[in-house]
Amino acid sequence: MDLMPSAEQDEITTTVASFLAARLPATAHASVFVTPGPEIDPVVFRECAELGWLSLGLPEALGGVGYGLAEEVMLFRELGRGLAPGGFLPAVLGARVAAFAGQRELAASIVAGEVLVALATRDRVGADDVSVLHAAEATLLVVCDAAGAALYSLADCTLTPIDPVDGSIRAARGALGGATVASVSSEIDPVFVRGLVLCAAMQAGSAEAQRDLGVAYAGVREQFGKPIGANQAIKHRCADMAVRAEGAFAQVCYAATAADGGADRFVDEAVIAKYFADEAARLNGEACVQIHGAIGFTTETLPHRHVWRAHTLARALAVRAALLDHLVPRT
Amino acid sequence: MDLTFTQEELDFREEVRTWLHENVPKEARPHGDRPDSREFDLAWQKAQYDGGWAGISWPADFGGRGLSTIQQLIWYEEYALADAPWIGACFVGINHGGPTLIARASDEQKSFHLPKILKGEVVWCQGFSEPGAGSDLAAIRTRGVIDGDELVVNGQKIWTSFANMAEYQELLIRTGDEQRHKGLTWVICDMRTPGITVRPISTMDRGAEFCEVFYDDVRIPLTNVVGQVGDGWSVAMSTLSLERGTGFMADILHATRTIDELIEECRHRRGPDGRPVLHDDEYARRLAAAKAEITVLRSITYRSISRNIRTGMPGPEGSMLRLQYGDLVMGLSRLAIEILGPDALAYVDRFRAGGWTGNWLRAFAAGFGGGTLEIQRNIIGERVLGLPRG
Repeated sequence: MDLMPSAEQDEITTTVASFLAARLPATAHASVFVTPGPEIDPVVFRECAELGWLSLGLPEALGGVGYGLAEEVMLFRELGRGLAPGGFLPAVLGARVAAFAGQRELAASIVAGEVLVALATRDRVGADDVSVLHAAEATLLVVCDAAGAALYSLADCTLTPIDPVDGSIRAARGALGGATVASVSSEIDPVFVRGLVLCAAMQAGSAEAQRDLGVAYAGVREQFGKPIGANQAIKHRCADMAVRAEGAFAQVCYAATAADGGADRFVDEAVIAKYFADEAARLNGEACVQIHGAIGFTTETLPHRHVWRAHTLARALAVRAALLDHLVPRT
Repeated sequence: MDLTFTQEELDFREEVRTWLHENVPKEARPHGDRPDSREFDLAWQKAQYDGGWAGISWPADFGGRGLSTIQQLIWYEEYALADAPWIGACFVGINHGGPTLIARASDEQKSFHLPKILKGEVVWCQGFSEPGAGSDLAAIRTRGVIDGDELVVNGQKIWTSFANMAEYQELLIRTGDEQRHKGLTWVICDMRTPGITVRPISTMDRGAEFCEVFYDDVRIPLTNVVGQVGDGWSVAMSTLSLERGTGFMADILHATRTIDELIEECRHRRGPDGRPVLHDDEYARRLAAAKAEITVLRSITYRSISRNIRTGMPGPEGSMLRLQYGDLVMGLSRLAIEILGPDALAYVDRFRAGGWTGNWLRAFAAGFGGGTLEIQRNIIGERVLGLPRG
C-alpha cells in the first residue's frame, strides 16, 4: 500500500505544469466575461494531444499511452489548478467510448485533437434533456452514467447556447437527438467512474490553487501593522482550506487507484471523490475570495475564475444530491 | 500509487483476525463510573501480552511486537472490525509514557517500567496540563526543588485522565529559574508517594476518569528523572508517535461502522411524519455526507502513513487528521441524536448498544482532547502553510 505518487507520476505533474505555464497561463482575464474566439487555441490543443494528454489512460492496444487512471489524475489535477480551457475531459471520455466500441479510427481522431467532443450531463436520471460543456467547436457529444456511456453527433442534438457563468467554457442546453455514434456499457469500461475521478481531480487542483492564493495573500497583505494571516480568523480559514484540499486529492488518489485495481466498491470511492472535491473547490473559493476582501470580488485577481470553474464542474456528470443519493439509496 | 497488500501482509492480516476473533472480550467495557473498568482494561492488556500482541508499535528490543508501519495499520483495521475494546486506562502507558521512556530513559528505568506497562500490571497517567497551562503548556508552574538526592514537588496538575487509578505519572515540572520551555524536568512520579492528593472531576458524559492532582512537598528520587534535570521540554517533545498515525485507523473504522449502523437504524425507525427516517432527504443526505467524509479521512490517513514510510517521520498533517476527525465525530453524534427523536431524552452510556446520547456527550471532548481544534488550526496555519505567528 502506498498512496503517494511515484516518481514517474510526479514527473507528469512537473511536465504538465511547465507546459501550462508556458502555453496556457492562467490569467485574471480582467473583465472578459466570455472569452472571444475558440475556447482553446486549436494549435495548442493539438500540441497537448501530441504530448499524449488525451490518451494517457487508454490501453496501448487501443492506441493509447497505456497508463492508469492514477496517472491521468496527475494531469487533470494540473488542468484544474491552472484553469486550463478546452474540452480535455470529454475528449478522454469520448475516445474511450469510441475505442472500446471498436471504432478505432474515430478514437484516433479524437486523441489526435482533430475531432472535438463536448460533455453532456443529463438534467435528470434517464432524461434526454442535457446541459453541455465545451459545446462550441465540438462535433461529438459524450454522455455517461452508472450504466454506460455513449457518443452522439452534435448536429443531431437540439442545443441552444447559454451565457455561461464561466465564460472560458462554452455551454449550451437542449436535448439529445439521433442515434448513438458509439456506446459502451460500464462493465466493458466504467467511463462514468473515470469521468467522476478526473473531474474530481480538476476540482482538487482548483481547491489547492485557491488554498495557495489565499495563503499567499494572507502572508503579504498588511493591516494594523501586520500580515492579516497572523490573525486566527484568517489563519484558521487557511487551515480549513488546507484540510479540504488534502482530503480532496487524497480521495482522488484512492478512487483512481481503486478503479485501476478493480477494487471493491470502486464506484462509491469515485462518487465520494467527486462529492468531496466539488465541496472543497466551492468552499475554498468562498474562503479565498473572503480572505482577499474587495479585490477578490473583482476580475483583477484569480480567485473569481476558480469560483466560476468550480461552480461549473460541480454541475458536470453528477450534482451533489445525485452523488449523495448514490451513497445512501432510499431503499 | 498502489492499494494492494503483499501476500505476507495478507497472511499477517489473517493471523491478526483469527487471534482477535478468539480473544476479544465478549462483554462490553464497563463505563468509567464503574470501579471494575481499571481491571477490565488491565486484563485486556495482559491478554494481548500473553498472545504476543502487546506494544505492537514498540521495538522488539524493548519487549514490543515491533510491527512494521503497514502491519500496524492492518492491526488497527482488524482491531476495529473485531470491535475490540477502547484502550482506556492503558492509553498513556502504551501510547505516551512508554514511548517516551523508550526514547529517553536510562536502561535501569526502561527495564523496570516497560515490562510492567506491556503486561498490564500498572496504569500510567499524564501530568502535563495545569490550571494556568492548557494550550500554552510552557506556562507550567508546578515546581520541583532539589533537596539532596530528591526533588521536592509543590503545585497542581489538572485534566489528568485515570490519575485516580494510576500507579505512575509522567510529570513535567519547573526546576529552574528560566522562563517558558527552559528549566523544565520530566520525571516519573509514583502516585502512591505521600503528599499527593487526587480529586476526581466528573464530566458531562458521566465519565469518572478525569482528575486534578495536588502536590504538597512530594519527594521524588532524582533517579526518577528521565533525561537531564532542566531538559524536560525536549523529553516531552521527543515522544514521536511510534504508531505514525496508524492508530487513527481504528477510530476511523469505528466511526464508519457507527454511520453504517445509523443508516440501518434509519431504514425502520420512523420520523415525526411517520415515514422511515431514510425517506427524509435531509437525513439521508446528511448520512451520505458523513459516509463520504469518513471515507475521505481514511484516504488522508493512508496518504499520511505512506508519506511517513517514505520520509521516516510523522509530518504535521497529523494535525489535519485530528482537526477533520474532531469536526466529524461531533457532527456525527449530533446527527445521531437528532435521528433518535424522543429516544434521545434518555442517557445511555457509550459502551452499551444504542449508546448514542453517551457518544454525543463524549464527542464534546473531541474539540480539545490532545490539543484544541483551534491549536490544531494554528499548527496547520503556521507549520504547514508558513503563515506568521500572531
